[in-house]
Amino acid sequence: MLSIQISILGQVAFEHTLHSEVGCRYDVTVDSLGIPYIPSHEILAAAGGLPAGTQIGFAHPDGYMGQMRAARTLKNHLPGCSRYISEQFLTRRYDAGKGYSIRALKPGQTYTAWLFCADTDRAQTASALEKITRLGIRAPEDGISGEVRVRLAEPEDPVFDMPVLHEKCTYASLDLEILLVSPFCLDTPFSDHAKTELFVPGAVIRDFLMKRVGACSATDREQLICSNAYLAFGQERLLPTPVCISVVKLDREQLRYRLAPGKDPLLVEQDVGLDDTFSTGIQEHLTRYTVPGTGPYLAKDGQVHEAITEGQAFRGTVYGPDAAIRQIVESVSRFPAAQLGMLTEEGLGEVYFRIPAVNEAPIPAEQLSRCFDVCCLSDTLILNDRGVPTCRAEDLLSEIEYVFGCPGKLRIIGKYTAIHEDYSRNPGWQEDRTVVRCLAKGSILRLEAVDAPLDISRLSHCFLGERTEDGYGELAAWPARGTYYRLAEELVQDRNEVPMPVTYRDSVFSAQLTGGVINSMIRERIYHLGLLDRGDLKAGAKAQVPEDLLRMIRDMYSPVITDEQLIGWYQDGLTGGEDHEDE
Amino acid sequence: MKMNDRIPGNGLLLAEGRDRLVFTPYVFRSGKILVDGQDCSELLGWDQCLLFDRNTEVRLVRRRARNEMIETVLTAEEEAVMNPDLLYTEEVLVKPQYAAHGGLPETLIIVNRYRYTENDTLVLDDYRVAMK
Repeated sequence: MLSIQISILGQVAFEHTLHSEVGCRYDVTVDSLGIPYIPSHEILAAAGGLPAGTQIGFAHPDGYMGQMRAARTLKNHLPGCSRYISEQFLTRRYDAGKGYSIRALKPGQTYTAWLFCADTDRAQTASALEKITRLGIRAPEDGISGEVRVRLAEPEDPVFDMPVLHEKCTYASLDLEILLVSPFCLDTPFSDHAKTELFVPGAVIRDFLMKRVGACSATDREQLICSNAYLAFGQERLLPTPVCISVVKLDREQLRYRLAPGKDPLLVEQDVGLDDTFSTGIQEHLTRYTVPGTGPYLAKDGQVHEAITEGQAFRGTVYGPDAAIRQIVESVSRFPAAQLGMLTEEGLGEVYFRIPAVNEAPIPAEQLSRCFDVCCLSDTLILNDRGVPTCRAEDLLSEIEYVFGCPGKLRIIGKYTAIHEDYSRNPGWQEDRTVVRCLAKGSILRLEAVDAPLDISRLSHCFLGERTEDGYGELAAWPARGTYYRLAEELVQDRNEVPMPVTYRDSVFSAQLTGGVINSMIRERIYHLGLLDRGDLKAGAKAQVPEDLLRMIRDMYSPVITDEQLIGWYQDGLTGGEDHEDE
Repeated sequence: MKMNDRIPGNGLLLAEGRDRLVFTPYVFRSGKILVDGQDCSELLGWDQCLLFDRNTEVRLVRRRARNEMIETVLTAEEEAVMNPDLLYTEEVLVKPQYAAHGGLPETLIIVNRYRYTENDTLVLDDYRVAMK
């Protein structure tokens, strides 16, 4: 993998697209955080003579990882700051004569993109890229020259703390974190091409890792199991949570009471938990949950796709033999960058892998239980004895009994199940595979041993059924507990803490962006303060700079701003603008 | 009766493996599956292999969870004695990349077999794929 460095020499802008700001004739695409990028198809269109099969990612500003971290923090604490973030990179002006706005990249910046090409094509690629002198549109009358300088460079690897492996350990699994650098798209077939999976399926991860562990024996590779990577929240993997509340109608006597004058008709129903007890005050027990942020992406063919936006992290686990685990760690440590999902040729699906932990096999400890819950952490595919996919809880029960070797010794005493129609593609041949019906992730069964208590340690975390290597059938079991609640209050995804792999350079850019945005916001507010006072000035009142107020604003938001800057911004508002020119 | 005796002599083969999908006409002769004259009997060991004509479907499905191969034969004769209210036949289009290429038809017939569970819920019990 190589990288392309694009130095912006003149203002650069592109034709209006789906992502353009309203009213802009020429614009630059910005990501969900407000940071601009150069789409890969613009670079490909400008470069003639690139070798076939060359893939280029989105070109992001220098220090992007640090800026992304800073932008997320800013958006979390200062809602509505996206415009100010964009302004750090873009120049914007409105042409009253022509009736449209223009946003363009400011000169003096450097943008970097990944490039994937064969080693033998490197010289040809470098030559083709160096011939690029302009990007985007050319509109000299609007001040857009599109002038750039492009060169091929070695990529700067992110700083990740990769685990150190011990020779005498026998590893059985590793935790894998996937950080999205560009949007990730995985359309579900038969949908309207505007829906993406909201997690990274195990099949996609496995397909990628199989290429990375080529040196392992075929047996070792076949034993790899990749769980689905769900959204990470800090160091946690957010699992699908069971819905364990059902609504039951009250009996006739109670109904009559509820419908009596003065009573709330909404109370004719009552919630019941998995253990068949009535529950009240559900709202008080709701827990917040986070779903990945998504947005539209306009592909080159004009098709609009939904994609998970960049800057979010997903977490899963890879299980396999020691040799394969070691090779994955070694490979990911050397090349943490990769492309996953669909539309990778257009720059989507750029990710960084991180391995927070490598684990040995857990020591089994007996856990006897008579009554226990089994929850599907991923879609679970069970075949019945005729080879037909089934999604009945009873069939999952017989599969569990098969694992325990105790047919007929368990019974279902409570269940909340849902059906998922799986239209997933086979990542190997990029085509639809057999459509199957699965027990949906989040389904839960409460089981009871008919005779003696069972040791449920084998079931405490395991994979069951078919396609387990692709993350299907991930189950967890634990002794039965009172009531579960669906995590029901959505948490803003910007608040989701994501560990960004930043270099020292990135940290500098991060601080620069934060300072720039806050200064811009304060400057605008103080300017408007001056603008308000302009009326008094024109009326002949004696103008006095509100120094204490300005200092208070400064101390509250950015103590590094000098008094001269504060007063200068105020005076700009006081004396600048059209009124000032009229005078 | 052995499975080999039930495989239709001429028909269509739909096999799904880990890395590939094969959908093609075949001829079953001397215990071998011939595709364009080549012996492709290894397809019978893939994750799923359906061999069917108008009246019979032989389904071979690998159940990895139990490390076994499930062999099922479904015939039109069975459906003749089933409750017709629980049968639903539909004609489905073959994907354009396969349809009318190399002897493949444009449509296929799917006979869905439903049943009532002990809770009186109507569920899809099985289905048979057939040539039109």
